[in-house]
Amino acid sequence: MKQSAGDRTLLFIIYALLALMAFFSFYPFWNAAVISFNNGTDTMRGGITFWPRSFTLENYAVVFEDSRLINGFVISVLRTVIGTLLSIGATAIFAYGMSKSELIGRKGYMVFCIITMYFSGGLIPTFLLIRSLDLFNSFWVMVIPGLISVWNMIIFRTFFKGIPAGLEESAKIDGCSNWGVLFRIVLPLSGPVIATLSLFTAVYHWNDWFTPSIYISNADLLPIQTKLQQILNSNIMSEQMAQMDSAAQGRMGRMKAVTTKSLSMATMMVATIPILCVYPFLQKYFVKGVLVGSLKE
Amino acid sequence: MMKNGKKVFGFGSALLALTLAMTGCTGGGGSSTVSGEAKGGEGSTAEAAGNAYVLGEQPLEFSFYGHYDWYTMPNWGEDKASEWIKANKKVNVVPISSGGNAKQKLSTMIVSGELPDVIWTERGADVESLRKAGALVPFDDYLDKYPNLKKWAGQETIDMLRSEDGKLYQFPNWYTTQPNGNAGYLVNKKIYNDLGAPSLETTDDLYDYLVQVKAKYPDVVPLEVGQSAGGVDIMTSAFAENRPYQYSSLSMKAIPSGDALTSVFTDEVFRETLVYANRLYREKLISQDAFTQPLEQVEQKIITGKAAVYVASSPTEFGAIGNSILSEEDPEAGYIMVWPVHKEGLDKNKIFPGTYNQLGWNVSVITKSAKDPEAVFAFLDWLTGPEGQRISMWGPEGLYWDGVDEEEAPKFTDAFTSDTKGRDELMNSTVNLQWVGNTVYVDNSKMKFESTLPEDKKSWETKWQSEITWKTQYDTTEFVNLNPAGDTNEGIIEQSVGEIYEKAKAQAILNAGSEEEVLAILDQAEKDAQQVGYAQLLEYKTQKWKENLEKLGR
Repeated sequence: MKQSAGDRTLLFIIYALLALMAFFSFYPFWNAAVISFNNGTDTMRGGITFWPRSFTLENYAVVFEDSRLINGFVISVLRTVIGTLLSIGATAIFAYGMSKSELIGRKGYMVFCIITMYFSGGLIPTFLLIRSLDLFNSFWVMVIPGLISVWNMIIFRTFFKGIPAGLEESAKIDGCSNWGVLFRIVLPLSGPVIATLSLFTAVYHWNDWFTPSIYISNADLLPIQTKLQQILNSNIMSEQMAQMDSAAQGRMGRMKAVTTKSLSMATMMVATIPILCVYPFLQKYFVKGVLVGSLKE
Repeated sequence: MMKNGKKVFGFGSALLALTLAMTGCTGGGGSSTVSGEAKGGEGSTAEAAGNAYVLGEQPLEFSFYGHYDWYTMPNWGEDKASEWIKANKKVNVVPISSGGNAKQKLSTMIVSGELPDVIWTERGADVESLRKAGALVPFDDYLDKYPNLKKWAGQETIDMLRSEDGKLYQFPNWYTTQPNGNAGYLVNKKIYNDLGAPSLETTDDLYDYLVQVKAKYPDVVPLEVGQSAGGVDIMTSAFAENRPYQYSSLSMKAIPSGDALTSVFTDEVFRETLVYANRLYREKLISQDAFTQPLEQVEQKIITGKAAVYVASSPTEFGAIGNSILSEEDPEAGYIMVWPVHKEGLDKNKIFPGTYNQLGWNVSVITKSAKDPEAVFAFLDWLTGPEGQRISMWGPEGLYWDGVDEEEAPKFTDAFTSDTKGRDELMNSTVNLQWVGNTVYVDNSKMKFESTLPEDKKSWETKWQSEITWKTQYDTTEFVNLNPAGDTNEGIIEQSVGEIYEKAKAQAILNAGSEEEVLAILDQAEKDAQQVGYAQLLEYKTQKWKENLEKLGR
């Protein structure tokens, strides 16, 4: 079918707009990467756009040699892996139970869950709760409180409900227990859902800097995102400075002015690239499609 | 079925509401924990008031929290200074991180009663709220047992630091009895010499110079006023004698006139400064993104020599770096500082672009969580004394200094001037451990040493500090603590007037098309401010000012 000139122009415009949007989305990240590879003093002269002017791996060397940042990186990885595994596992188990219509009080549990989606205690009550549970200043405070996500649970539940009952019935007839059905039949079929939700959970755990900043005081347990937050904050003028006399501002300035932009960018890259790399590996699960040829009815 | 559902829903919400209500009660439980601790703490203070604690006999460990988003305490013992202190004085400090979120972190710590042993924070509201919650340990019993704070800070400063109940809870940082500070005008040497080194004494001189710069160097910013156009504030000093910029700044907004504080919007000097700044802005002599540029951008311009004149509260940091970078490439390039600019007809020796106050920058407070508050105080007192300052500023003995003279100033070794890289590295590693800086001791030691050096070895910064900036900083100690607490009536007025002020200032500089418009904007701002209760705020500030003057005995 031959496209008219009008169609082609429209197509061209659409492609151009999309390309422009893609560029605007991608450029800041690219620029940050370029700056991270550029020498710190040289960066301060400005004008770095598409390619580093004075290429150096020094910034990354500093980042990887700084035991605190590496420590933060390790904590982030541990948290993401353990947190995601536990969270998805617990949520799937909960959702499986909720998907069974023979569960007593199912509607009641559902109501409780929905309410927690809309309301929460706020910072101080949550803090007091965490403290009374003795989770304060420990690694598990980053994993346990958010273990079951109602949102994820609902998605799992909907998906489990969609699995043909015939599969489970046939397994039960063969003598399989409920746990067996869950782990041997249902979960293997839930590939795409598990992949998607794991990704969301992993990204959440990787990016979360707020929880550790409030509950953890020990600098060795802080993930890299919280440390990045501190580094980036050193470049922002706070309201406090306006309240000070100039001598005090000088003193404060001396303490703050130590991180070059290149170093900040290198830290940011180290904090971002790992999670980006996870996406390609999970891609195939998204594309696979749901329940391919399991039961022919 | 429907009825059933409704019942469950009703039951569920009632249960939830009950749970939420009970959480409120738990909040009450939290604060009672704090006051419980308070009573326990007082007992131990009484016991300790026997003999002085000798630092170094027994191991001492305490936790330290810097109440700033950007502050990270380096790990204790990883740099030469704290390593020495750990080994020789048996002191270990455990850092508590603010996690980039200081305000909420402190709130949660206060509520839960899990306070760190030492909190390092700004004077004012935070200290007061901690004190009122009964969380702080007073230092009065310790002052006479440990020599340094009393000796170096002086009675006046200590009295000014006392809280409303008359006791001392705050240990000052960078307190002083002599002027210090770096505010002033940085000038690009190369451009200045190129244009024939004209006189830069009066505001008219400055204007003419900036016009020349703009004509000849189109890609250079003639007058750089720094982040959030802070330099405009500094320039108010040019339009009156004995006029610290603080009067008309956002933090104070009150001009002393006679024995009362008056409105900033009707103040002649402030109005004149804004007219001048507006003129410079309209003629593009001030960077057009003055109000929005971040600090890094300012740094960039200074370091690459893309500014002809830079006025700020502390231009020396960037000036020093810029000077060394530019002069490496071209010995004729670099930065110099000039004597502060003044309006025609004023006495140049009475112009003060900078301010300092005797109380210094911020304070450390010791909370009741500390197991041995007297020991912690003893440590801070040692740290602020000559030995502690020597070690924390310049490292342990034998590296960059060896021995002391009769005034306890360190005798710097040759390595101090020859190994500048190592020296700077050390000083950078310890700068975040300076919690109780002693300005008089450090500055005097520095100056003493610099005066023995030949010209080419003198540090750029100290040269300009001694020649210009330390002579032009105004003592504003009597104006500390004028601001009301945020949740009082006056606090709310302060907030509203502050917003009016910021808006008017930005509009006056950026949008006004002529002198009349600037004045009209300020007149309108005055009306708006009076409506929200500015007069009441000024009364409050005047009252506080008078109290300060009494404490200072003036």
